[in-house]
Amino acid sequence: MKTIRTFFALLIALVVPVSAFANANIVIVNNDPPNVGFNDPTPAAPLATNPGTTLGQQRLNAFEYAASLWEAQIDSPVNIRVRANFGPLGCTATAATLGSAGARGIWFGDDFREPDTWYHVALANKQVGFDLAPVGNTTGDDEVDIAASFNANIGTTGCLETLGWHLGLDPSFPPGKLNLVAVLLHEFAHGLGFSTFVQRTGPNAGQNAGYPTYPYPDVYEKHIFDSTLNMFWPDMTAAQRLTSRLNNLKLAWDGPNVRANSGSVLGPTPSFWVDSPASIAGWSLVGRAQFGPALSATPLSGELVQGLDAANTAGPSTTDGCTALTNPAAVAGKVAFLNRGTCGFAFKVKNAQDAGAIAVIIGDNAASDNPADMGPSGDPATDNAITIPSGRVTLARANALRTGLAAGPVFVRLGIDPLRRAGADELGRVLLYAPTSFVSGSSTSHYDTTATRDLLMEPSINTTLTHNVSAPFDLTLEQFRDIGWYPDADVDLVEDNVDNCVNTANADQANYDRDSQGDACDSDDDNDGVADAADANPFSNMQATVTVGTCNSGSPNVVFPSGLTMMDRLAAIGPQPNHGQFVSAVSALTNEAKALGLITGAQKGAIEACAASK
Amino acid sequence: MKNRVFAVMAGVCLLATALAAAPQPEKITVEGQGLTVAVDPQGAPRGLTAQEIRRFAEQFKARPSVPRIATHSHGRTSMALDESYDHHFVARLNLDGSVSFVCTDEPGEAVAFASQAAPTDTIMRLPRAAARQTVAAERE
Repeated sequence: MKTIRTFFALLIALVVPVSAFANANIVIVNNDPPNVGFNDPTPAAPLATNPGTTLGQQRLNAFEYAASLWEAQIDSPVNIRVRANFGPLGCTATAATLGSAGARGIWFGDDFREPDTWYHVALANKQVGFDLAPVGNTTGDDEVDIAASFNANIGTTGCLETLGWHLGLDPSFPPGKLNLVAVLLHEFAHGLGFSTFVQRTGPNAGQNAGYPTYPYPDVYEKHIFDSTLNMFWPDMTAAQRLTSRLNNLKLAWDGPNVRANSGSVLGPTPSFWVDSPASIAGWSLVGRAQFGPALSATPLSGELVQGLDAANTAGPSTTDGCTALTNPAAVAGKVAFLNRGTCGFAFKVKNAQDAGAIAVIIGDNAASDNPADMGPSGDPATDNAITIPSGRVTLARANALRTGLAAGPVFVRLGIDPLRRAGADELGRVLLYAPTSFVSGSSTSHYDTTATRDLLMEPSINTTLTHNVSAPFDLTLEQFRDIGWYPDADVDLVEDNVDNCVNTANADQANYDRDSQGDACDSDDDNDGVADAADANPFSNMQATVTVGTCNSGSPNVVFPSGLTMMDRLAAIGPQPNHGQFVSAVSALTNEAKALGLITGAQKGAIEACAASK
Repeated sequence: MKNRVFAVMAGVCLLATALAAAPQPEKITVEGQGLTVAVDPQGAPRGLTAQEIRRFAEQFKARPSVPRIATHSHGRTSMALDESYDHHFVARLNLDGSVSFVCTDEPGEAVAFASQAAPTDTIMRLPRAAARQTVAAERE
C-alpha cells in the first residue's frame, strides 16, 4: 500500500496543484468478498497510470487515487472512512446504475461552527476533532462516513456492453470509456458535503432534514439562494423550496469562496438581447455555434428578420433555411431568424450569409431549459465558409420572437457578456442545477450545466474535466471551504488564516509574547533575544521596568546572557532572613548587571532604593 | 451551452450487427442478476419495457418515513443515512446509439431517466460515432 501511495503522490504532484499543507486521511474500506470487485483476480495488463496487475487491484487503485486527490486538498484530524464496493448494480442492456455514493450520517451540535445546522458526518468530525461514530460504536451509527458502490458489470453481456470504465489514473476519456476517477471525485464530493438533504418527494417534500423532530437546515442548504424570491432556502417554506428547486438560472450558490473564485474559472456568457419591443425585451442565454466566428464582447446589433426559403425536400417549412433564402432583400444587412430542424445548423447559417445577413439566430424546435450549442455540419466546405456569427435560442424564446416579429420590428444584439460568467448570475454567484420539468435528473446538489468551463459537480461527468477540484480549474474545493472545510494544515481545529502556528498543532493558541507566532512554533517565546533552546527561562518576566513590591524603579528590565531578566533574577532571590540580607542580595544582583554593562550606576541606585524601601 | 457530445460508442453498432446476424430472442436473461436485456429482435437498442422499468426501480431503496435520529451522551445529535439518500450515477443507451448520463439522489428521477429511449435532454452524451473525442453538439 505504501508503494502505491508513493506512486499516487508522484502522479498527483504531476497533475494537480496540491494545497500546501493539506492533511486528511481517507481510508478506503474494501467491502468486497473474495474474488469479487476489488478482489477480482482476473489478470489485467498494467496501464501507464495504473500499475495494478489484476482487475480488482486496478479498481482499488482508482478508488485509492481518487481518495488521495481529495486528501491533497482538505484537512481533518479524523480519518474519513469510505466503505467501498465494486459489484453488481442495477443494469440492463440499455440502462444501468454506474455507481452510487453518499454520506452515512448528518450531525448537529452546539459546538459546531453553525448551531442547529446539519453537517455531513465527515465534516462534523472535523468540527469537533474526533470521530463521532467510531468503529465499534454501539449507538447504531454507521462506522463509515461515506459509502460508495460501483457497478462491476458495466461492459459485460447484457449490461451496457458498449460502455466501460477507464481505470487509468489519468484524466482521459478513451473512446467508449468513462473515467472512473472523475466519477469517484464527483461522488465522494457528494458524501463530503456537496449535497442537501431537503426532502424532494413524498409527504415531507420540501422539508428540511430531520423533519419533524429537528427540522434544521443542512449546511449546504444554507448557501442556496433564490434570486427571484431573494431568499435563502432556510428562510423559505417547504412549498417555496419545492418551487425554487426548479427555478432555472435563478438558483445559485452563495458563499464567499466560490464567489471570489468564480471569475477565474468561468468564462464569459454567450448572450442574446432583445432591445425592442419592450414586450419581449431582455437578456437570454444563447447556444454557441461551433463554426464561424466567435461571439464578440462588442455585441453585434441589428434588426431581426424572419428568413424565408422554399418548402421542399431539403426542408419542409418556409422558415427552416435549408435552401437559399427567398427574401434576400429583407435579410441583407439584418439578423436572420430561422427555425431549427431538418438540416444542419451550419447549412442554415450559410444560406442566410449568402443572402446578406450579418448574423443568424436559430430558434429551437424542442422545449429545453437552456439552449444547447450548435455543432458543425460535418461538411468542412460549409463550416469553413461561414464568416458571420450565429446563436441558438430556446423554443420559448423563439416563440416570443415570433410574437414580436408579428407585431412589428424587433431589434436585437448578439455577443458575449463579459460581466456575466457562464454558469453564474450577475453577482458572480455560481448557478445550481435547477431544471424545469423539461429535463429529468438531479437538481440543487449540483452546479448548473451552463457553467463553462465544465465543473466536476455538474450533474454529469464531462470529458474536459482534469481531476483538479479547485480554482482556476474547478469550484468544488471552494464550495467545501464555504461549508466549513477550512484549511487547517496542523489539524488543530484552528483555521490556517488565524492560526498562529499553521504547521504545529496548538489548539490553545498560547502566545506568551503576543507576537505573530504561537509558543508552539516560536523559537523565542518571550521575545528576549535569547533563543528558547539556550534560554534559562523561555517565559521570562518581560515587564518594561524593574519593580520591587509596589516600587517602580524606572530602571529597564534588562536581559542577562542566560536569558533571564532582572525581574526573573529578583524573583529568584526569594525570602531572606531579614530585610538587610534582602537588600544585600539585590545589591549583589545590580552590581553584576552593572559590571556586565546592562545598567548604569543611576539605574542600579534606583533599583536598590526600591529594595531598601520595601 | 457546451459541448456535451463527444467520444466514441462504436460498440453499439458492432453489437447490433452481431446480434442481427442471427435470430435473437427478444429478451436475454442476465446471469446472476435476473434482469432482462433491452434489445429488439434485430438486436437494436430500444427503450425499457414496463417490466424492465419496474425491475430497474427495485434496486432503489425507499427513504424511511421517519428519520433515524439519536441524541448522544456527548450532546450532539445524529441522523443516520442509508443508501436511500445516496446519489446515483445512471447511464442510458439512447436509440441513436449515444449514451447519456445523469447523477441524481432521487430514485424516481433515476428510473425516469433510464426509461427514456431518446436523447431529449441536455445531459452529457457519448455519441456512437467512432474516433471522435471532441465532436460538437447536435449538428441539426
